[in-house]
Amino acid sequence: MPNTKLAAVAVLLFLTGCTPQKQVLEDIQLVGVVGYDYVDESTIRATVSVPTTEGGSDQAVLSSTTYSAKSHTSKNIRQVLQAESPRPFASGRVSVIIFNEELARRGITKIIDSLQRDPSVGRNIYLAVAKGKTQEMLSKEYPVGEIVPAYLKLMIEQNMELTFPRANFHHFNYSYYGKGSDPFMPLLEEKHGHIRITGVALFDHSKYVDHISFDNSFIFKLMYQSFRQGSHEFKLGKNNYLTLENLSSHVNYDIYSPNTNPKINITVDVTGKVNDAAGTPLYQAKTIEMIEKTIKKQTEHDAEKMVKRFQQKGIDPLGLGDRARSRGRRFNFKDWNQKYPDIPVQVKANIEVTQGGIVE
Amino acid sequence: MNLQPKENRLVSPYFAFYLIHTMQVGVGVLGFQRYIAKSAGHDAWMAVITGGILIHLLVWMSYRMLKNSDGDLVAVHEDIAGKAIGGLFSTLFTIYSGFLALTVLRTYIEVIQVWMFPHINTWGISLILLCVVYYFVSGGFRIVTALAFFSLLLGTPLIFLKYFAVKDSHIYNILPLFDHSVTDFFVATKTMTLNYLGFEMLLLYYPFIKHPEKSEKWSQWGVFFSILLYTITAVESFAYYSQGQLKHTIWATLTLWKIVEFPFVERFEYIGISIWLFVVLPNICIAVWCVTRGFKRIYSLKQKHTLIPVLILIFAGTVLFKDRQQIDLLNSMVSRAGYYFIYFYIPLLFVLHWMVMKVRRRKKDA
Repeated sequence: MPNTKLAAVAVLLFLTGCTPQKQVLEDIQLVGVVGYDYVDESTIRATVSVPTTEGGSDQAVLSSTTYSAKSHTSKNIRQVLQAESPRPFASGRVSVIIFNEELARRGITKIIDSLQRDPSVGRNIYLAVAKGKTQEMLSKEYPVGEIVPAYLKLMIEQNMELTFPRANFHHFNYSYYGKGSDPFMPLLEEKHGHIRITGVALFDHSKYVDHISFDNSFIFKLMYQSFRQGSHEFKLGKNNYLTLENLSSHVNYDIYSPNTNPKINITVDVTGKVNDAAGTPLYQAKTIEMIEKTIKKQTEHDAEKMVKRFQQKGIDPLGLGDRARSRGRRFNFKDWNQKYPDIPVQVKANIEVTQGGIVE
Repeated sequence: MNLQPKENRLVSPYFAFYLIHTMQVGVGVLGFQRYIAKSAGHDAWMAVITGGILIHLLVWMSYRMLKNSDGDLVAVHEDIAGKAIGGLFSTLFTIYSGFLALTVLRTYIEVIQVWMFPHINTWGISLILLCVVYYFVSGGFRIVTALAFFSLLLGTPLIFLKYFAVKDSHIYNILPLFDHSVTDFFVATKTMTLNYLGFEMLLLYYPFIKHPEKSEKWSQWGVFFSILLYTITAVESFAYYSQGQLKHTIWATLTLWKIVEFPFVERFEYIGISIWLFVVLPNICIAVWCVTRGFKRIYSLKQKHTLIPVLILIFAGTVLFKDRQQIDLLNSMVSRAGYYFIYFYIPLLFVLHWMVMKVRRRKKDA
């Protein structure tokens, strides 16, 4: 049957004309960061930061430029932005999305929903809240040897390796759609020509309601997850401070009678080293014991205070409800939410200082 | 008329493993989590196992039937109901196979349209894929089997991608165990068995296995491997997603691939979807082959001649079903047909056939 074979070949040849729209790297603009600002009740402004290259192919200089536009829906903003861009935007490489503080306080449901639906948006991207306008933050240049999109991404990434708790788009969705936990994300601020993380922005479902300072993010992380890095400063005495460097920390939750009158014990085991303790004789077993005791006391105090604060605000960034659900049969979230502010939570910290550096 | 295929058309017994397994793993794996979690929540992963055990049982029944009739479903039907009525039932089964192929193809095209190329025409991609299907099916059953083998080789490594999600998983999510009522559990089991559909094609290709009675253990291993794959996928998805989040995620497996990061690929799901073609293709090919084989057995039509009309009908079907709702409808219709077929029809057939055989044997003895 030579005819059918010929026909098959012909069909395949002609079908090559049906290929979907091509996206050649040089012909599109890969958005790196998107910032959303509040304008008024029904309008938001989006600013995108796009890496660009200038100069010939030999001495290309990488820089970033921003486009900004406002509209009612986040997808339409793209159309408006397109009107001033030389090439079409592509959202496949977005690595950070920033919400302006005011917008976050009013809720980010709409934007989250639209991001969720877009198959080209990854799940390992970072969300953040910014103090001040994101448009200003993104359009500035920072002398850090990186363009803005890379700078933001790397900064958040490496801090999450250290003292900042892990929080990407997936984690956000997990708490946002799930019951018994609330999302959180880094709080960014532009200061002295740099962008810095100033704290943990805490959400009540879709609304930004509170934050804890960057100093305390280590304590938060101790309770939130088990991890192996990061450090925290403790007060030893008057004008006497020391830094504990975490070598490994492990957290465990004990939840008693989650359905009736719940009680939660959080146990944190930290193994660390003390590097920065000038004036304290680290070679004496007695001092080490004293240091451990002080750190333990402060950690427990700070942690309990922090949880108390979450309870008062009615938010649950640690996912206590989610954890309680896994321990209780026929768990009722309505009951839980009512009891939540008054649940006794006790934090127990076991601190072990194993070494004090390479000199005595 | 002797319809026993020639020996050079047969495949070795151990290929039953690939045939059964690849037919069970198709587009369903990409998003079954949300459907089973709808009724049994975080306990639904156990329904994956109980559902699988039922399939083991059904495969066992099918083998008892096929061994006794020394043929395929068409022969079984003839044993029970005679040529005319038996032929009618066989035709229904053949049509069902055709719809199975259509469902798999249309759902896969939907995945491509939603995830990769929203502008692509359904008819264009459908035509290309069906050309490939024609190429394989016209090669005969052995070629289709070989495709099933390669599909397993290419598709199975994707299970290791779950590793990337482990660090963001909370295994306590699947606790407490047995937190749902028995009814919920049954509903989830029912939903889950729909993902295991496809093994019933065995009823038509059985005579193409050399020493078919030896292939039973391979078929059961094939089912077991499917259960394993589905269980791992379900447990990992439940640990990775919160239940509320899972409700919103249509393709949980694909969305999980979004977290995969290699230095050389930023977004793995695109590659995953492309590799998935090789998992989906043998599904379509086996089903289409079964349609043509069915027509040959019932109406003595040459497979070569029925193949193109069948493909044209499937092509028309893919163009007909346009949006999410319609595709969902197609899926639930075919699943329901499959559900009744495997849970009511196969056991019924099994009992009837057993009785008919007993009566005949008695007659022979008398």
